[in-house]
Amino acid sequence: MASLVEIGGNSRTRNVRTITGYVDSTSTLLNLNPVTKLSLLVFAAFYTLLGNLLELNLLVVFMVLAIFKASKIRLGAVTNYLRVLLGFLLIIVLSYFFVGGTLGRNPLICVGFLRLYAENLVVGLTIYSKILATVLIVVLALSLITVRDVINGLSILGINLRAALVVGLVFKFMYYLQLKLEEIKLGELSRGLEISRSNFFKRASLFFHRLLPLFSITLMKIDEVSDVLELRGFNLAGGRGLLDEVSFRFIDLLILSIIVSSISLITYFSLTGVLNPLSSLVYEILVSYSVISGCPV
Amino acid sequence: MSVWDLREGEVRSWGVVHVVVFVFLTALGALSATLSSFLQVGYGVSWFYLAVVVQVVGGIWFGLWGVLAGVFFPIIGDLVGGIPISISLSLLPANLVQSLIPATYFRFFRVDPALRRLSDWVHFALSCVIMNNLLGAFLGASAMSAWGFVTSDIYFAVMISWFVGNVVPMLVVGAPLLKGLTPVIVSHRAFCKRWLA
Repeated sequence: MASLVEIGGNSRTRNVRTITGYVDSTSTLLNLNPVTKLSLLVFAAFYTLLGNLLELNLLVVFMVLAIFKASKIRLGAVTNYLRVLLGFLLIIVLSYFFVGGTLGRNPLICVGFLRLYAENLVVGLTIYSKILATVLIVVLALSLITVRDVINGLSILGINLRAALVVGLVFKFMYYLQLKLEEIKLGELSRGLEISRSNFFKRASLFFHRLLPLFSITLMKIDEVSDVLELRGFNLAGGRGLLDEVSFRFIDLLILSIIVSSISLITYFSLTGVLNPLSSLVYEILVSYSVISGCPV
Repeated sequence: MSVWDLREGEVRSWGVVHVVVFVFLTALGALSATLSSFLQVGYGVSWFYLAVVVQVVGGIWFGLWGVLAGVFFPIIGDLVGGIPISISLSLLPANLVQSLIPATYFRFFRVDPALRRLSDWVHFALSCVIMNNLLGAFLGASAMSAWGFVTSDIYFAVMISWFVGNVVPMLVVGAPLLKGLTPVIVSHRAFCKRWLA
């Protein structure tokens, strides 16, 4: 007769797939209410408008990195965004450090016709650190948000469940098309085509050979998915409902209150002029250096 | 009879297939945006912005659904790329004109998307290569300038980079795609002769 037998041993940690990758299921922040997770994106959107002090931006950067560590999210997730961050850095360097605009008053370095001013350096660094902080907040949020969170979160916020499902489907199909793209790349490799080693014009023309099959796959999948949805009676005009019963816990309320009070404080200090790139301590140090730099004003 | 004319007794109405078209075009566009970041010269400015092809052909083939996807996918693509929604929203007008101008132009002048005649090519060059991308580059560079990413010294350099980065993929990928896939698309139930269906 069969009976239950207790077997000792360690269970392996389970990983949950979020929008950017996999996260340990025991992570505290992973189990937050979807609205709390989505509010991180709202905070990032506001911070882009208001974070105008270098020191504050650097503080936010270090805080977010600490949260990454505490909530068991791999810091490797950030390395995937280095290209975006380098892109921002390049345009800031071009805009502020080489040509300068009309801000400059206190020169720090002068080499030939190139001059680096204290004002340009501080404003450029402030804008870049603000972007660095917001990109990290967005990456943190995306590392915690699952496709189900997107649907649930939008539904809780009062958006029609069908519309929320459509947004959720976009993320699902992005993942699907990414897999298909990898298949196409493997197909290219197996036929001896290696785009990464080609010159720009060859790479550009070869993109046609990637987009064409992707469009064809998309067309076939459109037929398949719309047939399935029609058979199941999907229509956009239906009412709303919830996929899961989700409630706000103490930690959700705590994080939401921190986000709301931070946005209020930053808005207040921005409007009163306290958060200004030229109020930075770094700027004052640079100005005092410019006096001894020997560059003509 | 052009591809835009309704046959006698033909009734077209939008359905689930168009919602799915919107979903897939959004996903495909967001993916193309990440693909084209291999030659980025600063945020939002790439020497080869492949996603503009999805914006243009999506608007021409699928009308309002393609235009909506062309406006929506940069927000999703940017978000997945780590960019806050506030910055993506400021680039929304640029993305809207890049998709809306060709879609409107082709329907208004009844241009054949399969680009069979020389006149179709002229219309294509005007609406899908020059007009939409020039206005898009102007609006995009202005938004970046408003955020403080671009100073007045490099405003025109950024605008020209944006324009060139959109024109090259439209000529290299967009034109062959329109010519090659239009005959298949027009016979598909998702093709929009009007704005919605």
